[in-house]
Amino acid sequence: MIPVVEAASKMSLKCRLFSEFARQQLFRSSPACGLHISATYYAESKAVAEDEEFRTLELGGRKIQRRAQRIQREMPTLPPRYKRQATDQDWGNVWPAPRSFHPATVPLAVRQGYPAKGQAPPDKWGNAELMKIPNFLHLTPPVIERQCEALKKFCTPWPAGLENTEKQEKHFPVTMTKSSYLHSSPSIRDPKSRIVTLKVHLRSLNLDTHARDKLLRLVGDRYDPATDCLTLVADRCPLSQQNRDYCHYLLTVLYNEALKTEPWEHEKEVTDNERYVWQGSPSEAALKVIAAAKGEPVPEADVDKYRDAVAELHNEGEDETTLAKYREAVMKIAGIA
Amino acid sequence: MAGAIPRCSVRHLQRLFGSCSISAPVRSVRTSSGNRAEEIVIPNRIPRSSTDILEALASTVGRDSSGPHYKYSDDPYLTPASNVAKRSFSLSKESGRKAARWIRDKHSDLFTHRPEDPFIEAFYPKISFTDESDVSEDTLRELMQKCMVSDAIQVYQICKTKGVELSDSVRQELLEFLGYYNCEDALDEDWVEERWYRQGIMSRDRIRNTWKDHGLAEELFKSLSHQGSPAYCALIRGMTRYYQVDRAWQMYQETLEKGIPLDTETYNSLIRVASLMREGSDLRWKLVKEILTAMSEAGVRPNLGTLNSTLESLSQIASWRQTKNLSLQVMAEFNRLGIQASLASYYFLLIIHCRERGPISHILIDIMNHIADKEFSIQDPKDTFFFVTAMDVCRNHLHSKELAKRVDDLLHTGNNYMLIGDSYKESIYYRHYFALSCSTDTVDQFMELYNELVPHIYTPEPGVMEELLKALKVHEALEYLPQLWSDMIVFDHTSREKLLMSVLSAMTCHQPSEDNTKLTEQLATIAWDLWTRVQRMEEDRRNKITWSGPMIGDLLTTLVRCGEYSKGVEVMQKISADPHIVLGSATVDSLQTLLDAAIGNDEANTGVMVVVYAVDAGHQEAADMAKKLGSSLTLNAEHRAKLTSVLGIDIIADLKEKEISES
Repeated sequence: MIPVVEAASKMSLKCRLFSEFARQQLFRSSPACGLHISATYYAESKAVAEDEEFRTLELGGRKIQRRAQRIQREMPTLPPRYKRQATDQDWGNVWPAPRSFHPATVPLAVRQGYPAKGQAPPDKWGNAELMKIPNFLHLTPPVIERQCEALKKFCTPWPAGLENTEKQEKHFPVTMTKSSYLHSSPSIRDPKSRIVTLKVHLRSLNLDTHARDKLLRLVGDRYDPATDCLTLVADRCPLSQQNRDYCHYLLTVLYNEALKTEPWEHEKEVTDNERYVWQGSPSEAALKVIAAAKGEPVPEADVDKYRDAVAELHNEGEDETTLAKYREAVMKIAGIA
Repeated sequence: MAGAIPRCSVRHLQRLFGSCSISAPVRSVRTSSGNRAEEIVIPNRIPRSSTDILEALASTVGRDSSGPHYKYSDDPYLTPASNVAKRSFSLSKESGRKAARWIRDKHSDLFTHRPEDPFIEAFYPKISFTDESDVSEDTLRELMQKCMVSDAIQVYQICKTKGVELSDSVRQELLEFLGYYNCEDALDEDWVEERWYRQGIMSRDRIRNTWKDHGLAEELFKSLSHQGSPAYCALIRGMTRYYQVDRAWQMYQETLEKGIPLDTETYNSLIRVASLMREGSDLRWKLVKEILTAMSEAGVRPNLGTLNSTLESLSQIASWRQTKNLSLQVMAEFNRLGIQASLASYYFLLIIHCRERGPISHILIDIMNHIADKEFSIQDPKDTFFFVTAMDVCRNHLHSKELAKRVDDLLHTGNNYMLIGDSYKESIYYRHYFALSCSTDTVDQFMELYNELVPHIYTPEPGVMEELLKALKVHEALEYLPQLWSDMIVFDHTSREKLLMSVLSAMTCHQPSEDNTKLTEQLATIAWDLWTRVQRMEEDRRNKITWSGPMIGDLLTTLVRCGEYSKGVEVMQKISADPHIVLGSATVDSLQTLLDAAIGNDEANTGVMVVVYAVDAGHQEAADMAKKLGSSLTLNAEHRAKLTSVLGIDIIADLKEKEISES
């Protein structure tokens, strides 16, 4: 019978209703009350054991008793956030700003990564790949709409007479571009913010052929023939305002220089010409010789055609079309075609 | 004309660059092309400050109650849910900031690298002043600007010892400064969490005189070459702020004698402490009227502060029978003067009219009609008391959920949530709202509110939780009990005896049937979880729960009824083996339920154990139980012996006799 370990005081008052016999039975089985029963039993038994045997001599270091592991108290955690989200929730309030992907907050069951053999791609929990890449969960279309609405009060209406590109170019032919930078580091400045770019179409400038030719020689590859656009970039001054003024100055100077004709420009020779001009060239002289040899004058149309073909060969370069055109023209003149 | 610039090019270039004047309301560019002058009108840039765009974007973001406040980490493991955790998380984060600042200030010689452009003063160690420092009036002014009281005092002392000349204006500024702060440093504005959790202001009975008599402020006052109106105003205001009312009144009399004019704020401060200067409601009101008359005779215009301090004085004498009328008269008069009431005025009105022992006043309805949908900003320190008091009135005084909803809507309009005050007020506000909803709404509506607010906006305190459980029991809406139990675990309420009792008694109302098997299982799980949690608590814990008889009884009943018979048996074995863990003993009904189940499962051992326990517990029905057991199951000799030993009579023999006699 297991010794009943109990303190008499802790029994309820109802014990008084016990029959005397029952109480005797209960108390008889337990030799004494209190926890020290077990201790005395143990001590007695140990003493008995020791008396019967030799005490063992233990040499050497005691084995270090491993202390009982401190029981980690389990902290109760909340369920993941996506379980509380309704399907019609306002996502902009949940993810208002750029943030690394967090699987407990994003309710989508996305998967990313190379799948192990025979398995699906890794799920979103603890997925480093999902966390590394930039996500745009803060820019869903409804949120963008809402933010645009909020920013509209800072916007002024587009000016009246500038609806399309032609009108804009007509009224504002010059485009100035400048970037500004803001760093979230000890210093907020960035030296790149001094760079100013000026773009203008040459058709907006009143240039005759000479002026245009001179301007193009002056600017070199700042001119893009495909878009007919002259680009001036200024970064030599420390402030963008200074660079802007420098761009204005540069354009002014270029324009005025182009319009000027220097006294020594008449010394320009045929080899300096930017384009091949047929009039007065050896090709024209040769044609005259051929016409004289033929006896009859060559018809105007053929001459024009030949002139265009030779000019194109020189200016555009030799390729199938230009060569074919030249052959046609020559055969016309020779009278073969 | 070599080298000459054609004239047309100048105009052309001018046109290119668009000559215009920016000072004009709009920029217009005249183009010289064509006969008609086309004016392109470019509207001017709308001026905006450096943070306007950020504020506009921020206004598109609202609060989402599925996640925690932004100061906590949004992660299931790191988000605090219980009130204790929330408080310790935010305060520990702030203590980290404080530690960083302390280190920076202690080792200021290590923080000399300053790469910032523009320079950020807040990142660098505070300058400490010694007797050798080069100080001047401007240093003093800068320190006052930054609200650094002890440093300013130190600099003032240094100036005195060095003999630096301080002008009267800087002395006056310093007097106002020290009067406002009573020569002590206020809690730094950077420690937002500490301010949020500070609860000192709420207790109204801490009005003690803390003014430093003959301190530095008074010394400064005396050192002024000419004690004029600004000096007297500053000193009186400082004294009243720290409740040195006798001397403030003395100073006021001095100004009357000397004919020195005072400003509005000084009069306001005197009115505010009028209740401390007189005993008896009518005398107090008389004093207030005196001051007001003096004010009007001096030609000083009253402002919102006057209204609020008058109402505050009235709220101190709210038990007088004339106070209610007076308060309304005051409101009307100030309205006529064109002074808009702030939330603090409404707060005082509520205190005056909606008293505990008094007739029910519906003034809150009028107030809400007046201020619904309005946006407020802070105009008086007591503005933050309005929402808590309004919700209190809705719950205790008027018992009106609709009005509470209106108050809540007002709280959530615009930026009004900032007027909730501190964490204490916020928790009390939601406590009232919750309790009101609990008592007036249906369970489903209430649980909607619960799901909305808990746990991220408001965590219920144990008292509120208890009311909740009672309400669930009364409405027999036990399907919400599993959710509440898991919430209780997270909020750390499972170590509170009263709550466990409520949970157990609620669970006994459940009647299992086919259509609620899931709930039955969940309730059984809860009961078993409860048992294991309590048993797992260490012996020497401060608030260790001891089982009471009813609790054990409910536990057994629930386990058995919800199908976990074996677990019920385990519990029974434990309490039979160690009856001392139960204060009292299990109820008779629970024992009978267990006995029936044992009979049903044909386990004589358990039945005998139950009967033995019942006898030990002294239940009268023990004998009947034994008889029932004897008649339903066949008992072997050991069982019979046991029963006989505890009951004293041989039940089985009795039964056999009966059988024989019947047959």
